[in-house]
Amino acid sequence: MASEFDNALEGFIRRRLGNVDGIRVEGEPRAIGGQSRENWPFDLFWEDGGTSHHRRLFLRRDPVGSVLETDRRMEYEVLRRLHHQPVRAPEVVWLDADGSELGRPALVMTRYEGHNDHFILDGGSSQLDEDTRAGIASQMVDLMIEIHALDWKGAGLDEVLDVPADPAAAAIDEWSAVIERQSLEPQPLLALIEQWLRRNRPEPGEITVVHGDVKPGNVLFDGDQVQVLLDWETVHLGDPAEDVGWVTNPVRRIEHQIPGRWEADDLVSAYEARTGRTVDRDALRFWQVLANYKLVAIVMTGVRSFCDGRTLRVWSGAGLLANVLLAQTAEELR
Amino acid sequence: MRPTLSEQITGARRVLVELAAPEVSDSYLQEQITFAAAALENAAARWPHVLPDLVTDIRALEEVLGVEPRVLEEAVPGVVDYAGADEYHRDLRARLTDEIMSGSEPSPAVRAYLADSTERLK
Repeated sequence: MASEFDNALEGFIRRRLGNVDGIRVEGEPRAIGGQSRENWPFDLFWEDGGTSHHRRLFLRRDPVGSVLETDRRMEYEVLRRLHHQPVRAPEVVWLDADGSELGRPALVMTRYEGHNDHFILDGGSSQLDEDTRAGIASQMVDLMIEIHALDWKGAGLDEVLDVPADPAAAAIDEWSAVIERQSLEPQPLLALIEQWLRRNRPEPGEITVVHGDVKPGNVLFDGDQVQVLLDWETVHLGDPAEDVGWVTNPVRRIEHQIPGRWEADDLVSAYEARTGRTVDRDALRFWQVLANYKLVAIVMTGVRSFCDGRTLRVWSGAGLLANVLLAQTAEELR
Repeated sequence: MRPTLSEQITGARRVLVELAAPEVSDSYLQEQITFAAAALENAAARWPHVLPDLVTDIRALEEVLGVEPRVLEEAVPGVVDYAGADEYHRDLRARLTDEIMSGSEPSPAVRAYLADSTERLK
């Protein structure tokens, strides 16, 4: 028997395809992965003028309670503008911006072949040899460079994204506001970290597209080849060093590095050699601290969702990240 | 009294891990069970320390803020009332947060307190 959601999805599709026959949706259960969105892969079939059509699609819907509260319209509009740009981003197909059709805001995108392996560089489910993993690590840098090289003005991204005068200040403002909004109790340590960030923020420089969450866990792989980068919900315009800080964050080492073979310095050196940019090491440290400050904000959003009864995911405290933040800023704060 | 609260929580965790989880094939549900089991494990280990750690943190905060130690409300004679202590603790942490956000350079005592309390309260 079709569920309420199945009926809503069929109506949503019917309104977009217009007067066609034989609409059929073959769905799979909600897919695992992604703490911030509900994901449904499905196949869509329909008949139009005697021709049979089939599209492999993927629906991402905002959950009742999430770890990130971002705007589906913004993500849709960015991805729509990136479709013909030289970047491996998914094609978006449809949008329910306000959730009036699918219950909560959602977007539908093309579903790509490939597998996801969050910890592929550490072995993960793929269990590739070290040379192959090093090759993938190198491709991940190329993927990030691809994003930073985008002509965002030409693509019209400034129509949907703010152009920050001071990217570091904007990032602190954004994530401190999330912490302020989501925190259920006073956070003196985070106040101290915020003060550190404000004192140590790098000067504004080049503005590029910043993905905000480059990681193997957001990539679909075909064997040992990076196919497409999913999950653009934190994309913004800013300092490219922000992404470099994100992927060299010591807390996420297992996702981005191969001990003894591809470590943070190798990653930064490869980025510098291939782009001609110099990554200022003080700025890099700032963005690494900001990366964990942002992670704390994300965890706090999840904690609040749990405490408000909007999600079943049981969150532990942010103690580990707090310790890391203290260690990262040790010489000045301890 | 046996089973203790820790033993009861550990038993509830075993029901999830040993009985429920093997019967669940949906990977999303499996993940939620894993998180719930981890939370129960944490609760079983942590709960006996919660009240003593809270009182320790209150005393440390009072010292850092230069506040006269308050006699904590008692739920029964000789036993600190948790809810009252938690509210007072929250008030002290709010005062420290405001002090830090005022922009004045945090003292070594504040830094030391934050490092210690992060360990204590995680």
